[in-house]
Amino acid sequence: MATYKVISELVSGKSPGDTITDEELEGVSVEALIAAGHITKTTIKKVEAE
Amino acid sequence: MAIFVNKDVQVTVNSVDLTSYVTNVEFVQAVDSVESTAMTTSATGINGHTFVGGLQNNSCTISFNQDFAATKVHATLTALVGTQTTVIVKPTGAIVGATNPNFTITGAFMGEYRPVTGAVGDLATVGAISFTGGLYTAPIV
Repeated sequence: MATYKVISELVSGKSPGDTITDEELEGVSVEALIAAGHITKTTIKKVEAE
Repeated sequence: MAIFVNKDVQVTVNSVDLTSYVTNVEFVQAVDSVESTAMTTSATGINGHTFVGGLQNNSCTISFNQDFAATKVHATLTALVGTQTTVIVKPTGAIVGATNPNFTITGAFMGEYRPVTGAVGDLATVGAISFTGGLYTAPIV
């Protein structure tokens, strides 16, 4: 499941800094949201096992 | 719910709330009329065309005030040209319910965007955007 960080104040039902999932974005053009600057893909840092 | 004046129609395009820029909206729920008229065995048995319902042929046409700032009207709409998206129109800003359903088209295609329209002295607006096709629903929750 991909997650995205909301970076604009116009995403419906969300505020900047919130996380939104691809399930919540069903039927929505994610590429267009990213291109328009509304969301950005969340990067998950890998934690090295000790 | 009584009759009312449009003041706070809520419009969401591609999950982006563009309500504060919308000046006009027309949401159309439609189904193609497919002719099914056939010959009859009786000379008086047919006096007009007959039709059956075909494919859904929904559309939503929206006019906007233009804003070229980052993440506003232009940025949102120009990224959608040639794509399918979801358009939601709610009659008022009140909570969704039987008297205030979320009129929704999923898989609506946006084929054209006119970022600059108008004459000298006019407010900068976006030419009416049409979202066509897709499936209509009106969930109340």
